[in-house]
Amino acid sequence: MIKIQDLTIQYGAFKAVDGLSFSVNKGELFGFLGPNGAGKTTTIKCLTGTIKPTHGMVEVAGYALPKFFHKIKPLIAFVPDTENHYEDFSGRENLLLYANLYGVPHHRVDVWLDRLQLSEASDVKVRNYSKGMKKKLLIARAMIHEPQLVFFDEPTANLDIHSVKLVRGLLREIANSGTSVFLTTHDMDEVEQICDRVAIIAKGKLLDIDTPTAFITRHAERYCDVQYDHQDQLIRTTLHLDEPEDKQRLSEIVLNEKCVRVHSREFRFEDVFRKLTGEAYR
Amino acid sequence: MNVSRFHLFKTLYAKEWVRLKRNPAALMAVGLLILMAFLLNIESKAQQTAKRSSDWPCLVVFNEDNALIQHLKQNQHPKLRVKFKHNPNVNTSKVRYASVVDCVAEIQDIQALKWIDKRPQQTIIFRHGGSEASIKKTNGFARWVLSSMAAKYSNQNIGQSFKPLPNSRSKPSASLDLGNKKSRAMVSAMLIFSTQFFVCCALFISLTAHEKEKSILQALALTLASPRLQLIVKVVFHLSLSLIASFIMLAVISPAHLFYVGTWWILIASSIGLIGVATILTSLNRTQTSASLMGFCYLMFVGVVFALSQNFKGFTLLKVFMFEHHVISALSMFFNGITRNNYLLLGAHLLTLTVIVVVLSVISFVLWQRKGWKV
Repeated sequence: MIKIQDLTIQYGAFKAVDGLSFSVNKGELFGFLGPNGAGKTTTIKCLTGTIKPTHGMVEVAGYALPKFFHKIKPLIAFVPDTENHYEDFSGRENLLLYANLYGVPHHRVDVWLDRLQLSEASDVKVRNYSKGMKKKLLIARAMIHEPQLVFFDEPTANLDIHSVKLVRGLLREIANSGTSVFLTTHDMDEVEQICDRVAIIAKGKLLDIDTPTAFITRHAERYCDVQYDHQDQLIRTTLHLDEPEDKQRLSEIVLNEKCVRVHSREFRFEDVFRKLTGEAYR
Repeated sequence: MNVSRFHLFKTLYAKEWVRLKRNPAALMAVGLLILMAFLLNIESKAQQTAKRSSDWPCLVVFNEDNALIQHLKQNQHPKLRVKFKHNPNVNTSKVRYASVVDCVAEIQDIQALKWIDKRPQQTIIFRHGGSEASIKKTNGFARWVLSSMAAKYSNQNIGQSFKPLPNSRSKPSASLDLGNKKSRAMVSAMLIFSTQFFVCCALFISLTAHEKEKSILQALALTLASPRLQLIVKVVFHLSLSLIASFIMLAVISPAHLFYVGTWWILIASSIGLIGVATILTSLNRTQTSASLMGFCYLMFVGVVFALSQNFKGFTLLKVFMFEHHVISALSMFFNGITRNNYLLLGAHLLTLTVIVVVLSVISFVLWQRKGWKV
């Protein structure tokens, strides 16, 4: 669905994106991660036709950008991180406007309002919506023309836990229906739970790309929190089990000291992200 | 997904109308300007009526039908119509005049009153209506009366004074005389231009810069409506709104000009020029606040250049390159009445106006395409 080859985007002398290459498959839920200023938004702007690449090749649904952007437009949608509705319009009016601009039947408006639990507030002006409702309306707006590829920029930010569950389920559902989802988020649990594949970038460069499970397996580091009683004094320490010295130290504690607590620390995707991006910024 | 451009146009155009309808303050401002046109019309009609009253005859009010009065009756003023009226109470507050009277000579024969001497034997008070035209008229009338008086009573003691009529409306000399066709034409042109500025520049900036700041334009650009189509719709929407407002204003101020092709040419060119300015300002600013502020600065700049051009040649030259100058000048010429002498000047204004507006439109379109719709 997306093919990027050696993509470089420059603002003057500053390289916001530097030689990025990856691809996104059809029906894949693809996580695109990176710390602030890594070049995520710039890449999305390029993929949605707002800015032109300085160098490299970008293809969406088999059409090269920016030349065939007009052919890509009906196939994609973008859910931004900030709400950009007409506040004086009701939720339904906002959706109807976009339905008309895509030439889709109006009954789809009600379908998506219902799917995102907005039917009751559909005739209320968006000005009176909560942040979560506005976010859901953005998703409904993006999905109204049933695109083949949707870009989501932090879709669950500012949502309550029930809405987060709803949106995550919806993202998975969209991907399962064959629509590719390009997701950027700072919520690492979300990535671990729903993404098929993840790309991590920093300083405009791709650091790694793989499935979340493979990331954890490849980059996992084993740590152990130990609490023991040494001469009536409670001591607490963390040992890195991949280091021979720490491994030896753990054996000594278990054999010679009175252990109060031994707890292995679970290595999560968040730790992978921290490790990779931390190295990049070191 | 096959959607016709006309359908997209219709959708975006309807969206603009709904947005305007949801912001009644904007419509109220247009209404206020139209109300101003109504007031201007009423005021200028009142002043025209007052002006027409200057066609009334001048009055010679006297207490004694003496030799002077006889002489005046026999030697009528070459241009002014003069009426003679006997009143024994002349030169007292008991004499009342109709409100349309604006030129009077009160001649009092003291000898006839058999008063004790040492005072002038004849006194004349010339009374005027207060307006510039009335004072001018009374001056001419006074010269005629005094020359007759000098011929008849060269050896007599004569007292004279120049006073306003008791019911006159004296005005400061700097006030605008709306009875004057030239002033009225200028004010009308300014009023129509102000309405167009509000609709095509201030309102355009307000509505569009808001969409830009909230990245709504970017969201719309991702649909089947291109940024170019969005701009075209906005131009057509604000142009139509401006022409409706101008039509109402013209109908109020000068209905005859509704049927002049030239007037509509100016109004359309002016609206497009103002939309061009608004597009440039919106494209160059990221937020609604800064764009609106720039719009206000633009208005101030135009005002300052116009004011300074009265005294400084450099600013007069700068004014030539501003389409606003050509709009106001050409509209004033239309309202003032076109004569054979100013046909050439009017043509020059129209041509320059068109060229400037075309250049402005090209610049604004390029800017819009490059950065106007992007945050």
